[in-house]
Amino acid sequence: MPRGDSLGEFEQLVLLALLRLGDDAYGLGVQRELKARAGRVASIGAIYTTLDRLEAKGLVRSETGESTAERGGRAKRIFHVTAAGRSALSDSMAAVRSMAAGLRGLGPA
Amino acid sequence: MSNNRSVPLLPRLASFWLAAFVDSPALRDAMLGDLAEVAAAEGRRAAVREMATSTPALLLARLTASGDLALSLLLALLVASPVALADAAAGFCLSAVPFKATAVRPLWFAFAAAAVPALVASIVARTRSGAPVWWPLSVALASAVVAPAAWPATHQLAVMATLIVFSSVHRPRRIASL
Repeated sequence: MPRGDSLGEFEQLVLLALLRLGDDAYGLGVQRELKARAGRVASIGAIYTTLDRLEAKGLVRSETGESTAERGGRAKRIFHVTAAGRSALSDSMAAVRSMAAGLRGLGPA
Repeated sequence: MSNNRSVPLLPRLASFWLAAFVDSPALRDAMLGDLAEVAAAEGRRAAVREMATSTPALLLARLTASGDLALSLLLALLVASPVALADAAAGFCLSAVPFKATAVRPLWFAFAAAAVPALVASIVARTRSGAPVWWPLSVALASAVVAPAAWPATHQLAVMATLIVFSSVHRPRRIASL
């Protein structure tokens, strides 16, 4: 990953949530996943802003999903992590692991 | 489905709100759908709360996209710090006080009336965060003494900007989440 394109912590969490949600990864789902797994409360606006930024970087792509009556007939926007997104996430997490390695209580000795 | 009756009211408000921030029709549609889902599951109040908490991030993204970096920075600092927000409100109201002679009278009274609680809120926020309390008071005093008779808007913006920049140094948080 080029210098200056590193992922922020929130971007990492959003990408991980997308991977966990699979084919049903949309804004509200990401919000719920972040809250349930990471205890992170984020607004829908913050999540869509981040998703939009990640899409502009080519790290995610989106497509129109299903619409339901519960959503007032409006379609979901389903997001998928691209190969570049997986690579960026992997690099970013490896950097964190490397920095934490050997520090007591933070990483492998 | 706890609040079905209120759901039809929401799209109009949400559409109006989103139109101010999001250009992409597809993205707007997706967000409107999400808000409708929140309203259906948790009620209209939860959806409105979601809109309120989403506004800073959307506004910041909009300003950043527009290339207005100075304004973006000011907003980011405001969002990052409750102290800065309280200071800015106090600064804005207080900076209007010297313009009694030139301002529209009801507007002046509204600002003057709001200045006291805004200043109290600023002091309370600063006390809680451990930030210096003297700062909003001294700026308010300076504002009242040196305020030029003309250019009230410019003066108010200058006071706000000064307050925001100085007070935000204490708690630059939450920006990463935006």
